[in-house]
Amino acid sequence: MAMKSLKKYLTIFQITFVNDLMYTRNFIGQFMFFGLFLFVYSFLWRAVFKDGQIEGFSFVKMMWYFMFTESIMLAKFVFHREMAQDIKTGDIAYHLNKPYSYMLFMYAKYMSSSLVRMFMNLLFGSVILFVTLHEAPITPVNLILGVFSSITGLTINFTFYFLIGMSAFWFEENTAFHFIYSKFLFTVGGLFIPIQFFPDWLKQLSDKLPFMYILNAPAKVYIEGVDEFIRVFPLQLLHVCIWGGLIGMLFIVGTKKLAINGG
Amino acid sequence: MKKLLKLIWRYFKFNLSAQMEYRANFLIQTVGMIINDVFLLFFWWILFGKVGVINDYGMDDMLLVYAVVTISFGISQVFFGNLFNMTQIIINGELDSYLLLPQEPLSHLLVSRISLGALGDLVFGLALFFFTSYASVFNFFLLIIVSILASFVFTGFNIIFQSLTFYIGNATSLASVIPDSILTFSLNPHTLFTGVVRIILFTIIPSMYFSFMPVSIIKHFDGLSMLYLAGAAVLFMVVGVVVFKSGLKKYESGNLIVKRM
Repeated sequence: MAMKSLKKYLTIFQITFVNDLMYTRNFIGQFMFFGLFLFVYSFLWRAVFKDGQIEGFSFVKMMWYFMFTESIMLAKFVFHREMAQDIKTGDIAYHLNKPYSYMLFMYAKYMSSSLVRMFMNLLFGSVILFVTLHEAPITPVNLILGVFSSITGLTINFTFYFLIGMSAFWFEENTAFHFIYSKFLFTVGGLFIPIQFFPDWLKQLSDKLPFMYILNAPAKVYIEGVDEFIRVFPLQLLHVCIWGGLIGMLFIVGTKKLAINGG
Repeated sequence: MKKLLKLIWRYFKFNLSAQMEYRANFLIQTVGMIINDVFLLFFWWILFGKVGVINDYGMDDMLLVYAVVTISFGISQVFFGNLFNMTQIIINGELDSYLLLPQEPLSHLLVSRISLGALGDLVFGLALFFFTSYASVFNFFLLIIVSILASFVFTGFNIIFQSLTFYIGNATSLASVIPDSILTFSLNPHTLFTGVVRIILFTIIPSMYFSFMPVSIIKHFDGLSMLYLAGAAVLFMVVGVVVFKSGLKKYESGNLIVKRM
């Protein structure tokens, strides 16, 4: 029974995955943007690390860290607008009466699109860094653990996108929530600069928030491997449970508020 | 020229009042962009807190860079708000509605939209300047002049790349990465870039005219640099207009009926 239930979500995953792979032209703009960032920040980090390491990071490590955080950041499939539109127009009703969970349907779609982009970004970024730096502080084990940690990070991100999308049950306009959320990822998520560089008080605060488990934690797992994975992975799972549980409950409350007119 | 300035001013007033109709949206977008700019400074605050100085640049210098870049970008986007939409307008065949009117099409197209986010950039940059050690009446006067000139460099350069759509078809990817490239280079200490990259930043991606030169003029006023900057502004605008006008000859109407409100 559980296998049969899982199969339908895997089918949604598969369809979106193949569909996204067909439109590789869409990646050109993203790659240009990604390549530009790697190029510009290589100058900055070279100057910053000219005297050696800072907080355990060298120039090479920092470049790879940045590549990993950006790969995840640019991979996220933004669906909150589509979801909010579904709620506002009442189109969500077409999903609610189908034999699947709307939340898992969205998750399969989101994860499929995000993974295609993440793997493309990782491939593109890794090739660029290998060619230019001739050095990589990663092992095959780090890579496998990093992918697990990234998928978990993307799952935490999904819960927030779903939460933002769901806010349409209560608020007319939700772009401001997405804007604020992306700023949290940019700062205390450790997108451009590792949390380890922060002043102690901010580091401690960031540790308690979920945002660093979306970007900083997976990037560190790629670079540092097993020890870092053992430290952060259980915390990532904890955040998935907390925020996943919360959106599950709120979705039930929200759908009760839904008023659908015939037509 | 007088006619053009009149058009810009009238469109600015009209666009602003149209946007003010939705006050909540107006505030969200403007204040949102100010918050966005503050968050961008977070990165430098952390980094300079850790290393102090990067290639002769300190936090104070970065604040001045951000003030100049956000004001210049703000001016360009507030008064020429359709700049980044040119490619899409050309592809969709929406240019017809501008070609039918007596006003020169490029200027008319550019000024017919206002970017509210950019208004936030403008406010942020002006306020930020007073947090730098360079704040004085004379420097404020310089800031306004160099920012206007830098905004022309930015506008002219983007017109060139947006107009490439006339020649190579859909140039959306290229046209969208251009403003990002200028901004990304501009919002870093210019001393990081040497050799070939520095030459590129004076020519193909003119970030040096967008941040380094204006900042340098405010720090140590130099008439010659000001002339260079003015020359670059005129050059990029003229090339932009020429590329657009010759590209316009290749434009094919899509017979699309457009209602501009």
